[in-house]
Amino acid sequence: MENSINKQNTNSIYYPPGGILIWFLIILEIFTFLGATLIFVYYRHNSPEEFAQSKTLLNPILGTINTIILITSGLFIALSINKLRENNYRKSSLYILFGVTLGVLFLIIKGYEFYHKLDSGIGFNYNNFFTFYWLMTGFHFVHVLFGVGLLAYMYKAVKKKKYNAEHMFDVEASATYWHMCDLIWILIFPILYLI
Amino acid sequence: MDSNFPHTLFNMKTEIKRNITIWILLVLLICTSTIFSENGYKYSFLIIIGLSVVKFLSVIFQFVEVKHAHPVWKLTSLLFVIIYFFGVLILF
Repeated sequence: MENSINKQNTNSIYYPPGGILIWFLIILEIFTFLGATLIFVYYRHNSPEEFAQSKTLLNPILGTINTIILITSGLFIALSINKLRENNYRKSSLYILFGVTLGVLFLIIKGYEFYHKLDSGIGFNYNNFFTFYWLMTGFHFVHVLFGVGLLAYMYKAVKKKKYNAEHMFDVEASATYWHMCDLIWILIFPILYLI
Repeated sequence: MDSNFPHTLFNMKTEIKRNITIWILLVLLICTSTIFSENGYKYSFLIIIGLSVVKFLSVIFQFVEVKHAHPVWKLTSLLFVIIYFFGVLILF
C-alpha cells in the first residue's frame, strides 16, 4: 500500500524531485542562464577576435578542476539522499559534510580567480566578454554560496535525526537546489572557458 | 511533508552504484572537453557543446532523479537541452 502511494506521488506531475516549488525556481534560473548564454554566443559571433583574445586570460585547467570539484560535491549530495532513505544518518550527514566542504573549496578557488582578475585590472567594464564573465560566474557564485549555507543547515538537521526516510522533503529540495548549481555551471563553463 | 520518492521500490545499492558510475563518466567527459578545447581541432566547438548536453542530462536524470519523475519533467529537461544545443549552434 505504501509503495503504491509513493509510486502515485512519483508519477504525479505535481511531485517532481524536491517538490514543484523548487522546480519553478530551477526552470526560472536555468532559462535565465540559458538566455545569458545565448546572448553571450551572439556577441561572440559579432566580435570573435575580442572574445578569443579574452578567453586566453582565463585558466581552463583551474576551471576544469573547479568543475570536477562541483560535480563531486553533487555526487556526495546524491549519495547522502540514498543513505537517508536507508535511515543511515551517520553516512548521510557525513556525505553532506563532504559535499559542503567541496562547495567551499569551489568558492575558494573561484574567489582566488576573481581576486587574480581584479588584481590584473580585469573588471566588469574591461570588455564585453568580461562583462558576461562577471555577470554569469558572479551570479553562479552567489547561488553556490547560498547552497553551501543551505546544506550546512541540512547537515546539522540530519545529524540530529530531524529527517528520516519517510520525512526528508526539505533535504531533497536542498539537494535539488545544489544540483541546479551543478547544472548551471555545466552550461556556462564550456561557453566561457573552452570554446 | 513526506518524501515523494519510492525508496522502497528500487534497490538503494544499485542507485549508489549508478551514481558513482555517472560521476566517473562526468569526470571523463569534463576532461575530454578540456582536451578538445586545448587541441584546436576543427569541430572542437561542436564536440564540447555536445558533451555539455550529455553532462547536463546525466546530472538531471541520475543525480536529480528526474528518471523517476512524471514525463512532463523529463520532456522539460530534454526541451531545455535542445534549445541550448541548437541555440548555441545557430548563434555561434
